[in-house]
Amino acid sequence: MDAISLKAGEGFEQVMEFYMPTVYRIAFARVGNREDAEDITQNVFLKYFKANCGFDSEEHRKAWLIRCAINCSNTFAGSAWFRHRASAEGMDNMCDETENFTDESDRKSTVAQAVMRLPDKYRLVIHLFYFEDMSVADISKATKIRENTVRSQLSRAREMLKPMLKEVDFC
Amino acid sequence: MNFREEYIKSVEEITPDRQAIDRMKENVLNITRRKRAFPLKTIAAFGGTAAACAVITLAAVHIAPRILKFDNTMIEYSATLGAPENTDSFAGDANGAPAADTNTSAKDNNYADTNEVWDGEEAFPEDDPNAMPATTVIPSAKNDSTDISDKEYSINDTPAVPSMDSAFSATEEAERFYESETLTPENSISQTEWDCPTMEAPSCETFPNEGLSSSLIKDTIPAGDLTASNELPDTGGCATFVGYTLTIAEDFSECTLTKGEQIFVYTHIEVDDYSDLADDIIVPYFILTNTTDGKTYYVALADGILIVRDEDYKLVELFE
Repeated sequence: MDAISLKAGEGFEQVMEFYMPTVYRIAFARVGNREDAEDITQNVFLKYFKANCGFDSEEHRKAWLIRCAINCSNTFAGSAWFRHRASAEGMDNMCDETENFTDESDRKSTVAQAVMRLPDKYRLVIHLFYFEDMSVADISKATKIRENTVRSQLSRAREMLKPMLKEVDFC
Repeated sequence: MNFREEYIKSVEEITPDRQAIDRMKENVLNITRRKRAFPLKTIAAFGGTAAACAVITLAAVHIAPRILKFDNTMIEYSATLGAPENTDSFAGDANGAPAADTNTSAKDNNYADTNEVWDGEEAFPEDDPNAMPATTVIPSAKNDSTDISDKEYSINDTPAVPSMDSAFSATEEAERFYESETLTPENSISQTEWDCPTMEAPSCETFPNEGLSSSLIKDTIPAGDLTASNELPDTGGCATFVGYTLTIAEDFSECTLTKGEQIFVYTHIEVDDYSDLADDIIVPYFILTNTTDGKTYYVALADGILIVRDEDYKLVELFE
């Protein structure tokens, strides 16, 4: 990908093209359904447009977008409307997403289902640690959680996944 | 099975497809491309506030000096006028009868029914204008400046004016007697400055020349034009205040010429109503100087009107 301008107000469409999947996955990992994840993604990039700020580096921009996605996801998930209607629909969406998979798909769906069964706060740190490949320090900065807390949440998440994923090696 | 690899694979399945990405991009761009509404309310609020502040500032800048000036003016004016009970007077040794006026109406207003004879050196002559005092003294001006209300004025003694047969009587108002101030001899103009018996006006140098000239004065004071009985010299003539005490009330409501038991009271008339008349009257003025503050006033009696001008020759008060 060609370097995107770090200056404020430049390369907005390119930023959306490159970072939209990342923001979408974080939102999906938090809320568990596509429609809500799309709404959150759009809100994140609207905030990015309105902020109109420049960045020191590409990592700085990525960290800004991830933090914004996490904040928007938490805000959305904390709303009364979501809390009273999302508990069942989230799982139903996951089942729809994975029901047509093959064995390999079954395995992947098993991993995905297992992660989706985790509590919200564990799901997020698992996604950031294993998929986004962020360090504990970066996760701590993005989620505004202390590093020890991040480590604890990761440890507990693994402990909860082990019974569900007996053949999985967490490394 | 490696959890990381498996999890990455599973999450990639959740990655939005091309249609979803395009849909989200379009939605965001549509919102960002919307033109912002013109902030009319914001502009109106700021503009109104700025206009109000500007108006208040301008009003304060224009009004505050006027208020301060008004206050100061009122204080000075009230200080100048003082209480009606407090009066200021000019006194002098009149050389002749300070003929109040030649108008019958003025006489009716200002003089009582009783006739008082004006005798001796202080009376106007009946027929002979040459019997008038040799000189009429005009006090010289001093440069000291103090308020008229507290000071005394005096005029030097001058040769007596011819007496008049007619008597002047005081009006009822004349019973009020105001404390008088007298001019000192030092304030008087020397006798040589004005030669009254000849009814010739003194040289113009002895008068404030604004509006006056010796030739005009001579023309208006023809020799031999003496008043008949009960009449006063016209156009001011040789009327002097020598021997008389001129008392002017602080509020300029009236002034009184007093000599012994003879009291002549002049009441104030509006300056605006008679200013033209006062300006038209070509008369010699007596220069009366306050001995305390040194302020100079020019006083003349003509056409039944007592004219008072300040040291700048500006008309101050008129009495009749």
